[in-house]
Amino acid sequence: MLTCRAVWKKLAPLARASSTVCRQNVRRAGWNNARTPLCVPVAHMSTGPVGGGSDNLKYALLVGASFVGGLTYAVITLKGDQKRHVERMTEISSRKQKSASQIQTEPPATVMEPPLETKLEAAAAPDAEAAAPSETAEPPPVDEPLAEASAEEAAAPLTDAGVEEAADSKPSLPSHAPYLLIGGGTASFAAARSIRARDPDAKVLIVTDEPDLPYMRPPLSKELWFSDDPSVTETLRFKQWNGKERSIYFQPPSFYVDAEELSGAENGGVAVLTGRKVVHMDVRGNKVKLDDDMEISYDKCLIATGGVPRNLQVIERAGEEVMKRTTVFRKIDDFKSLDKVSRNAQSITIIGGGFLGSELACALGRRSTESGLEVIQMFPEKGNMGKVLPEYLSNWTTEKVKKEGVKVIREAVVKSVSYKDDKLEIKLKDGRVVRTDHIVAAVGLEPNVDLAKSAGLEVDSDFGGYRVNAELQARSNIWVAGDAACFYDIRLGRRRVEHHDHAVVSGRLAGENMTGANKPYWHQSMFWSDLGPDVGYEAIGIVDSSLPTVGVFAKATAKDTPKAATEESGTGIRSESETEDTASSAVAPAAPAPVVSHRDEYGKGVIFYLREKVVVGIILWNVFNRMPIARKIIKDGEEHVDLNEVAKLFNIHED
Amino acid sequence: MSSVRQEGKDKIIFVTKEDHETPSSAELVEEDPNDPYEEQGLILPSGEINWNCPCLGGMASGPCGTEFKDAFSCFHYSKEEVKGSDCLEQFRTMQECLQRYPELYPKEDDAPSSQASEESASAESASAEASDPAAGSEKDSDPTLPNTESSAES
Repeated sequence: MLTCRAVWKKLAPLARASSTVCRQNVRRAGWNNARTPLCVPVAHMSTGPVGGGSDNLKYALLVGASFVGGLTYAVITLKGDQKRHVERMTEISSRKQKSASQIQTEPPATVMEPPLETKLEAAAAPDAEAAAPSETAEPPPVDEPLAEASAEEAAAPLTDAGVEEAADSKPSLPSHAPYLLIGGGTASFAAARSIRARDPDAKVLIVTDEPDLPYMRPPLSKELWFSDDPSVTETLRFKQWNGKERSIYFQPPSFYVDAEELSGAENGGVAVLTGRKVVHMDVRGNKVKLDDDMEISYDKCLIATGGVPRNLQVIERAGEEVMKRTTVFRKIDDFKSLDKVSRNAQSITIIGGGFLGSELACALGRRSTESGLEVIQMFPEKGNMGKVLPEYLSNWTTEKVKKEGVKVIREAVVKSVSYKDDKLEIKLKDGRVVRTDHIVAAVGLEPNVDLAKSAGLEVDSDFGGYRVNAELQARSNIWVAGDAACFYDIRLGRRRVEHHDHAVVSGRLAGENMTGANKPYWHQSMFWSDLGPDVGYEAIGIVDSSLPTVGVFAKATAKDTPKAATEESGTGIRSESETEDTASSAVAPAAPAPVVSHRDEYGKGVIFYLREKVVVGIILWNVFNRMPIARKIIKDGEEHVDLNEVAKLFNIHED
Repeated sequence: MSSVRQEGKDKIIFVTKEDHETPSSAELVEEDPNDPYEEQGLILPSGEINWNCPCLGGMASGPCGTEFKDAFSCFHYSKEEVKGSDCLEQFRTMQECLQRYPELYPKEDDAPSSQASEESASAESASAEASDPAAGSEKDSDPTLPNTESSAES
């Protein structure tokens, strides 16, 4: 059909040309006829029919010849195309036979096949283009032989591969994973564990663009900095308060199955493909494409891509010298490089007053006492954690941060950063200038929604991240968990949470739902922060300083510090006591602590965050191991008349 | 005596120990032990084992997960007088598997099989107290496990 059209198009100009010639001749003849009667009637009479006759004959011959020529050309082209079509069909069917026999001999697909497939696809493309209408006759025949040649080439290696296959039967990377988890962080690992627990012999493949196996992030800004071990940047092990040491990696490498052996593993397992990025997602075809063009198909998929730390625009625009001396902090490599910087630099400035910024400031501040390092922290709010804690508590916390050796600059908005005299010069909007060697930007996280476009997934405009329902599902076989998930919380409304415990809870829930559970987000996740050994808090729900709060406080004793809390309960990281019971029955005896009177008023207590008289968030301030009560209060969602009565449930005066 | 202060939208209350000695008048909603949404303990209301229980520390999901599930299920459903005495084969297979991964399952002083039967017994008694909602909902009703070192999870 297309060839017919091509032929017709080729004929058309000829036809048009011939018709215009005809028409022109007719007109000319007409004019001649019209004019000549006026001028030379006799001449016209004589020349008209005779001249017209010879002219007409010439034109007739011309038209006839071109018509015949066009017709013959059309026939030749059609015949040629038909021949080529038949050849191609036989080629394709022979290819199918070869690949079918290949599949029979070797169940795990080979790495060679995908590149061959792409080659074949490339070969098919020029064919399609050739078939499409084109003006000139030359290019298609030229293209097609080329395409044919490459297809034949492709067919040849395919047969070679077939021979190789039979000979070696070498296992290679899987082209299909029943459970595919995109992203290798906390949420992904929690989901992998959940799937393995619920689906016997499940085969789970984790694909991550980081070079590391799944690890936990909180120690990167806390415990790892307090380690006495000089080789901590290599071992990444830290001592918990109770003396027990552990690695930041969730599991050692022996826990995981090699990716190559996943398909053949009898009892299944979890495999991790590091250093690969998923760049394209085909939801209809249930498959993804990696950055090395490898394709993996899946039955169920989890997107747990987390996010990328934000940077200040003024820094990004400030040039290479400034960017070289700026760190954004999220991964193991960031920890390693900042550790190195902190040993060599004289002054480090942290921009950002939230969790990460304050924790890093305290960690570096601790180091400053030994090394003379100057640690500066600046942020636009009035105090540390200004967006989380009510003002009075934020101010109190800022004083604590200062005691850790940090120079805090409040209400600081960065106007420009430049590199001058071997120092970074930070100019603030109110005119203050800070000179420093290195900047750490802790100004938030941009959720990674790179796959939204190719996968056709909705992105939330209010909170960012992929929009999912209460069961964390985005589309039929796709779930999203962790930092990147904007989910519907039945109690608290639509939200997106960037905390470790949420990654564990949502990852686990996604894993359950991927194995058929259909449970909504119900178990409320918590978070915690420690600012030095004396200030620690656990929180749950929506903890936003713009909400009205009610704080109930008592005087703190030396017993009420995070250190004491972990020693007594014998647990390690406090998140572990919540989400995973790995505590042993042996408990370190709690030494009797003397009652220390603090100058500060807010030693320990409970703070309630209210939204229309209902408690939506709770902070346990230097009060530990009472999270289940807080969780219950949020879950109930009741309007309590007197929050002091609710506070009684926490027994804040006791340990 | 408690003191109350208001700073803008934030209310601050200071309380002494005596202030909080009287029982609370706050009302909490009654818990439903069979709520399907809630996190379950080790034994589900149906009597089955909750392999996803955080208390198991990931034993059911690691390389020896299948062996662990077989051994523990056998024990759980064992009707022998000495519970689990008909499961020695499964426990032996599990132990062999655990030994293949010393990094994940460091050697304990007690044999894993006897430890497992120990805590299985305590788990059973915990589930027997089904009427007590605290035992059902609290995950730490079963803190003892094989290889309870926090570094060894799988």
